[in-house]
Amino acid sequence: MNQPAENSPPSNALTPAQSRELLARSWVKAQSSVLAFVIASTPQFTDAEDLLQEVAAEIAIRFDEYDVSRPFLPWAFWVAKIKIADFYRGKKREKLVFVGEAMDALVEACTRVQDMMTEEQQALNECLGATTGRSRELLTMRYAQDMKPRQIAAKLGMSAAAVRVTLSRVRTALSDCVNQRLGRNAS
Amino acid sequence: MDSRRAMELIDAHLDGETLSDVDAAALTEWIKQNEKQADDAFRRIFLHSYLRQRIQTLGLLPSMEGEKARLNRPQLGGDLDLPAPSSRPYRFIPTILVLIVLAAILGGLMLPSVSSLPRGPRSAPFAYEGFDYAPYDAPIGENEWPTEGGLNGLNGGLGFSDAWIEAGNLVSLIEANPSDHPWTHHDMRQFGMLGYSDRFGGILASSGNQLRTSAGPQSITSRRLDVAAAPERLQDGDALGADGSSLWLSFLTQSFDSSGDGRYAYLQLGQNDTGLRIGKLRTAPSGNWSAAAVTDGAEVNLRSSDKPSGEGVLIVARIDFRPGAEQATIWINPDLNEPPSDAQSTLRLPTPDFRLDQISIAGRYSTDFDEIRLGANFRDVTPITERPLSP
Repeated sequence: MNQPAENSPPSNALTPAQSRELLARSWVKAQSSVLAFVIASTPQFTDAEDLLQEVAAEIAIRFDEYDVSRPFLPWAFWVAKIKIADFYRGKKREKLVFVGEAMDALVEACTRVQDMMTEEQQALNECLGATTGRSRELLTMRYAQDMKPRQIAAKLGMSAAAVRVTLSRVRTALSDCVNQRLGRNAS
Repeated sequence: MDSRRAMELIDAHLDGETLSDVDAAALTEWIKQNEKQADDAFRRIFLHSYLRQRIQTLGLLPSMEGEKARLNRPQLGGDLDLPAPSSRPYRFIPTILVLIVLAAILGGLMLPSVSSLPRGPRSAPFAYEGFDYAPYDAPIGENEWPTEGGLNGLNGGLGFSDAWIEAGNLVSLIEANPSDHPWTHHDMRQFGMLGYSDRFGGILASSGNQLRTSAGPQSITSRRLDVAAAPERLQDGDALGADGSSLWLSFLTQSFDSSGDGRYAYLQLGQNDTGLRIGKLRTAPSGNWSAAAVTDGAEVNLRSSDKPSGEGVLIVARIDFRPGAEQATIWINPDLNEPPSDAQSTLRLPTPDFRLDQISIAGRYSTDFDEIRLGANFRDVTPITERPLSP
């Protein structure tokens, strides 16, 4: 994991004005990425928004420790990871499941697939635009209306298990669609 | 564990289900087992985050059912209604795709550089205000927001006929250092000046200080436009809004936090009898960035986004002036490389027939505004900085 290096130039080597500008510019680039990571770690969207605020405040507080000779994003991620751990400690009865233990492996995966992400997004956009009927209905209820499978099930008169399975199949179909558009064998 | 089961568990986790200890451990081991499985897991998380961001922000793309039927394409996934990939070349559809995310966070993902994207020539706004005035440096205690001074008499920027005028019982202030002046410990603005970077790394040109509305009712800060500075086709007598013309507006904004329930801070085009408000609106209980038409002082045709007002945003609006009611189309955080389509807009609403010769910023909840631009097209109001990001 990328942590601040010791004995390297911190951001306080900059003038206060330079430091503020660097923080602002770095953060606007990193914000959506940090949010997505937080969502992956904290699937409740409202929790993720609260946590993002905590991460932002922590980054502002710690910015003097940031080594400007190194990329901002890994450092922001390191801060986010600390806040996520704090969040789960505060929850006591809940715990960070697979994301925590598997994070290093996911980091390496990011590095491997990063060059393909732009075209994957484009393909995904097209595949998403091509959904119809029940698939669109479930995706809209799950993501636009932020309904959980159990709530969707109650509204549609289905079982929660059926909603979960159907949503999972829609996602798999989207993934296969992306793979086929990009000329890859479906995984 | 097979791949299908692993994907189901990731889906369950990201749908808010609690995994059992056994399932969580098995999934962790599966991800760590080999690179392909880790890649598949990453892509599944990416898919979730993309869907959440894309659909919450813009909704689903227009359905291609009609086109599908016309082409009689085979279906993928049986009852999932997913069509097979089209063999036609697909057109790039820029959207708000957040999630390059984990990759960007950890691997230092290099997004396509701005210069690699197709962009037309940039032009310039006919009115611009960057609030690069001397900051207000005195400490502000609780219930001690300044009642005089503010922006009264400040006349920088371009495209205005007069100086700013304060008309509220409190005043707006110039902020140069949000990190040193958080209103409380949880002030979302304290991590830096307002700014915006799109998903391709294009950075909106911004500099200097910013305006901060009052914390408490209320500041009303207005300035008259120099109508003659606008293109002739926009002019309708001594105001802007000739029928058949389109006016573009952009600005950066961020509120102290995302609270709603009557709190407000907005930019208004036109007057209180007829006009358009964009920002944090009193009639939007959620506190999310919103827009509403104004008629006789009341907010009507309210449209709210899913974007909390505690998040800094770039708002771009186009007002199409027509005979009768006008049409406002608003994008929040658009890509800067090319004009966004109406289908990608965040908010659309009709407004009463109105003309404008001034802009106003009103607030009763501490909120920052900056880089206000008015122009005749998208490029006028979204200049991209040429400066590199790295120090």
